Amino acid sequence: MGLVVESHLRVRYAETDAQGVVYYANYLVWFEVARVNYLRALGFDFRSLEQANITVVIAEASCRYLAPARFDDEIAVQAWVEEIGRTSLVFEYAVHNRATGQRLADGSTALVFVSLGEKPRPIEIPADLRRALLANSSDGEHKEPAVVCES
Amino acid sequence: MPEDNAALPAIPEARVLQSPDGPIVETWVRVRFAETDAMGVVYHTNYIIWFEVGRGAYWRALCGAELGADAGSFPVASVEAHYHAPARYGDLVTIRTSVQEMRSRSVTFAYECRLEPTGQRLAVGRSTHLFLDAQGHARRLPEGIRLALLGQQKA
Repeated sequence: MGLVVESHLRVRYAETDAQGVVYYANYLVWFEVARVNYLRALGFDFRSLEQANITVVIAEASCRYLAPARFDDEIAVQAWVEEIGRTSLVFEYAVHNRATGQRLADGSTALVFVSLGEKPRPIEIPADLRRALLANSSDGEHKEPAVVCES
Repeated sequence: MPEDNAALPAIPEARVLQSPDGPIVETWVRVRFAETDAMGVVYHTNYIIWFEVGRGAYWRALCGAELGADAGSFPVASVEAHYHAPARYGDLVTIRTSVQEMRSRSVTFAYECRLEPTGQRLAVGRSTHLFLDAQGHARRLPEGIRLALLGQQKA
């Protein structure tokens, strides 16, 4: 599993629905917060990728729901890189309630690197990013989150 | 109402198609600016909200109405989406919803989003829902709902 980056957030009222719990699609937005923080922890940000005419698109997303989150709950979203392909990356996520430690959800997203321009097409992960990802992902052992991001 | 409105092309709320595998309910969304992101395309999470639009249309078309809270609930146990091509502001998107799998205590819906008028496939996905009674316990799907979802009888 390698590097695990944990992002902290607090549930907004706007994220809840008529069942009194967090609307299920919002977990995928939290995944985005978590993977952006992961890349930032490696020293990369999406904005500089786009300045280099590279963007990242989501090819697949999935989430499994175990327990609900509610307004004002403090949430931890852990993110790690599960798979490094030629042009793609798979992130996995685990969502917990920080007060109780209860696991709320887990999920995954597949990202594809795409060159911007006339004809967008998948391109190889930039070499410096690949090096950083490999350096932080190889040992296959679960680790405590090495980086915590407050957001 | 201003007469101009009469000139707007009518988009039906939903229609039910019959297939050998059961009913398919089609409904349509017009992409809002609020649904786009900095890449100029629909933000990926919004497809999952469109899946809900499709599921709501399916319920209304085949079960007559949304399930009342006192009758129980169908919380989402899992969801997934596979993205094929982007939709953009102003696009008209067809959402096709069907029941992929029916188990004793859960139902899995399948979704397909296509761009009008080309029919280009934008995304496919599915979601699995548990049936909980009013006390929040997992229960067998009531027979009336099960049959209605399969298009075999009104709820």
